[in-house]
Amino acid sequence: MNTSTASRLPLIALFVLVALLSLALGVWLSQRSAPPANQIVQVPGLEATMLPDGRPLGEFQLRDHDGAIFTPERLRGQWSFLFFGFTNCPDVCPMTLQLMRGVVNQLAEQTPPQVVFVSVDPERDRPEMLKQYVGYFHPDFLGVTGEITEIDRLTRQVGILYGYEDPDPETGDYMVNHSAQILLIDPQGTLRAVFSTPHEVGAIARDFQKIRSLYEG
Amino acid sequence: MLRLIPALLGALWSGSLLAAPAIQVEDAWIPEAPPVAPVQAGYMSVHNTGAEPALILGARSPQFGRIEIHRTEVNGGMARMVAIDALAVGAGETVALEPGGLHLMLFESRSALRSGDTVPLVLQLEGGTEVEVQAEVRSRPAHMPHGGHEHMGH
Repeated sequence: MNTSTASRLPLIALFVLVALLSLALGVWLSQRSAPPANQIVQVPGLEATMLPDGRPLGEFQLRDHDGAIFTPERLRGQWSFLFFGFTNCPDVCPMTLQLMRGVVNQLAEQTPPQVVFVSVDPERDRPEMLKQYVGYFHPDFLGVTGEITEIDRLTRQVGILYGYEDPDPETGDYMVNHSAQILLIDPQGTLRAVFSTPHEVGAIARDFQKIRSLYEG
Repeated sequence: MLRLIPALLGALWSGSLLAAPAIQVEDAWIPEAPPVAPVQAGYMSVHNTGAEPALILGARSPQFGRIEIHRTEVNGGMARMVAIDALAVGAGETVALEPGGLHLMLFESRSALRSGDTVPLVLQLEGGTEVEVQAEVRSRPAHMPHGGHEHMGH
């Protein structure tokens, strides 16, 4: 054994240690992050990503646009579409609201799914204003917002991200970045599917009917 | 040597220093928005028919207190708006301002706009040229040609 091999021995030992630790971490993570309830599958013929066993929603307490308390209880007993945004948003948010109006109209059902727009900008989006904003798109749409800590309790459990950009020094205006996914909640209040962008009226309406028949079947 | 001067002058004449940008705007429209909406969007198709690139530095309108040029980007499912300082339109090129992409962000509307209204807009180009545009207010279709387009690589 020459000196250069000997000097590499600690390095080799370190590699082996790192490899073993990585393996252990991998096994631990795979057991930890993929319990059956959070399993995500791509069902053939569906644009949406489905959670076959659903993800039950834990507690949060927001307010709807009439000032009534909005908890996971309000998502039970009917299907709900849930998405996130803010009203100082000229492009994506009105586009999504108009899209959801198209979905509800296309479904043309006696009891259409509930459509909930969650404002992640409670500082500017007061309930009375939110009511007029979402009501413009459809009289049955519901605007919801609340304390940041309560919004976070909801967004964190459904994988929605949002954040504020620095305000414009002159006007004080600020942008809000947010996840553009549309969530589908089943009548047990369980997250059942996620619609990623790009969104299309026909695909969402079709997927909703398929997912509902899978759920009821 | 002297014979070169007319050629140089000619080059200068047809060059960017003296040529006015030739910008044509088509299908300018503003989606009708909830009357309480604090901001609105403006869309249009901007075509540069000239031989030189054009730079749109901003826009103004008697209807709005302030207008900015923005681009919606959706990366990894996250939507954000990016302010654009200047919008370049290459010679012969067409740039589309459309839902889910580039748009004018219209602040401080002086009155609620209804479908059928017409709003004058002025695009301000580098070099001082201004292009007047009449934007039609109309309802936003539920089906967007490029709605929620995923912009990669930003």
